[in-house]
Amino acid sequence: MLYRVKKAPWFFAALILPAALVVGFLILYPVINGIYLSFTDASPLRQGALKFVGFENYTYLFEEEVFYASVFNTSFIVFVSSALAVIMGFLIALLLHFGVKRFAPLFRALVFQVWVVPWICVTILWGWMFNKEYGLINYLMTATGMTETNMDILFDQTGAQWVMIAGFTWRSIPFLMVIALAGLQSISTEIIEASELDGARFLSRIGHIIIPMIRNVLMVALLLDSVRFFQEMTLPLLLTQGGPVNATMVLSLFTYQLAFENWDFALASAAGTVWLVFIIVVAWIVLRFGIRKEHVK
Amino acid sequence: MAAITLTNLFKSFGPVEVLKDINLSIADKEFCVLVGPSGCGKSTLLRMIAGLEEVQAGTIEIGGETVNDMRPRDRNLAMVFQGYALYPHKTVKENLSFSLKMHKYKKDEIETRVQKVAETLGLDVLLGRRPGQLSGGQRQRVAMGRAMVRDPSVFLFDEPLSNLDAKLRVQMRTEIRDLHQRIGATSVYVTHDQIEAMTMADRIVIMNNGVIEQVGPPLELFDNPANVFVATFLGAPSINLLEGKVVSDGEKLGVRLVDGSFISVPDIKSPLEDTSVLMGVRPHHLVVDPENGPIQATVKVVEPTGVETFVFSEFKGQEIACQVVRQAAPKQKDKIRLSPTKEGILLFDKTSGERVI
Repeated sequence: MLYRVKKAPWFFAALILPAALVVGFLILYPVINGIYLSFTDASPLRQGALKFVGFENYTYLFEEEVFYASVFNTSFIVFVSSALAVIMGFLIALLLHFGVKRFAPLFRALVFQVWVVPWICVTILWGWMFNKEYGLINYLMTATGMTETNMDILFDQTGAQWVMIAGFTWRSIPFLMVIALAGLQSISTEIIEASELDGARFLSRIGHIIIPMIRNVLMVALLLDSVRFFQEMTLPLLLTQGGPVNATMVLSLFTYQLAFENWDFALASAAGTVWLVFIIVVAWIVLRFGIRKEHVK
Repeated sequence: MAAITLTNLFKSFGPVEVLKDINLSIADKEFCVLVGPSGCGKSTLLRMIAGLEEVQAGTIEIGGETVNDMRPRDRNLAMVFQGYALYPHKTVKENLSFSLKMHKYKKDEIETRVQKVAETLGLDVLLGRRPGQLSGGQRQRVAMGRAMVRDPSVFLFDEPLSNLDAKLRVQMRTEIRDLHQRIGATSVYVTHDQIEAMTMADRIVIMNNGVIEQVGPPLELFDNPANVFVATFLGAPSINLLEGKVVSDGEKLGVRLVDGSFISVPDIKSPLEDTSVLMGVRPHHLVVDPENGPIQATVKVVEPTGVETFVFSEFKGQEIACQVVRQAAPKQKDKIRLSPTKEGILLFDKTSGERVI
């Protein structure tokens, strides 16, 4: 017998309940509570009842220079890392799919190992790579004569940002590669052969056929990845603490410091709320302009 | 001029030999159909002509030029794929113009050619749509248009109608044939459907297990098959094959069937005496002959198809089909006597399967 929602509403409610509870308590409640706290003076250092302060936290935030710096840095680092990760993941996928076809599963497994590396290890790895005294990058740069002496890249404002970008990108390439590879594999060989007969050379085939066909998949992967980057703070927290001169201060770290170093939960909630809105806007832009609906049946 | 000549072609995938010593000449402007059961190597052969499969041994010539190492784009041919292989993100117009663009045609040249092809195929109103918004028949037409737009010297078709429903298939069959007559480009058409082969081909190439069994115009293959395989492959219901032995009844030679009945065969020669044979008779060459019919059978199924009626009956544990006019159709379980017409008897050697008469 088939159950219908109208005939047995309670049965269906019971089925949905567990999921609704989990989503409600673990996702919706914290979000709503966070928004609520951002309008109060909440702090673990303060005794007594919460006081409603209106938009005071937001006013304070929008007058704070570090906040603007972190919004800008976050956008820059996240945008560049995501773009690089998509491009490199796609290139590796192309190489695996059209180049080394035979061992593709093996290489895919090998590259994917990077995905399993914990962020803390990524931090240590890239920290050491760019280390002034013993780092591989410095060694290569002096050995090839690009620089005369070792540079303290992590203490350079632009340098530190690019170290973040390198770490983020490196960690995400496997994810993008797997997604891109799955996309490539979903294109029927007939279409590739048809384009070959139509006279498309390798590059035009990629530009005219392959990229347009997997573009939606890549866009979604890009979005997922940038949302992850938005949240990630292990790298800046452990490697640079947001320095030098706030060059690597990102929203996640900024919020964390407000909450657990300044113990200003209210202000942190305000920053978190702004951060949330920011991610929603970015996601909307990507989905609105990045995804093509016309050929999706 | 785009005659195709295949000489001593071999192809294997690992240990499996898919094509064994293929020799075939396809004349300029000919419509040649490769037909055979699945796995016989016909698609591989087509893909080798297209340049999508590597040639391991032998040569492929198109228009007198060896193309073995030429890339597909330089062979000046077009292919219609089984799954159409339209670019889903491009509109019909973009699909049609893609190959012209890739071959660096001028903009207004592209425009006129696309327009012309669209008109020929009745696609003018669909130019702005994407493949996802088209019906199966329309997609088929776009695939045809994409092949036509560049005026290639050779058309290759890889089972292009197998995804269409029966009615559309018949319609497209005529359309493709009609287009070929208008365009006149050399065409190689792969199918597993013998009706398609019979109705469309100038010449049929029947393949089996990687070898060519017989080449010839459709009716010639139908009337004069070289062996049992060709005889059974063409024609529906398929040819009746009755076991027997060539013997003499005292004055003339004939075939004695398993039930002991004797059928005289006029052209038979004495060296064949005592050989075991398969006597092939097509259903329309078996007539009901109540008095003298040597083959006595019991009717199992009667299948009226409208014009003619097929009668399937049992003869010594074997099914035997014959074609009668509907007024004369017997009923189930009737005992009937059948007699093959003189010109309808084909004899095949029982062991080799080769035709002896």
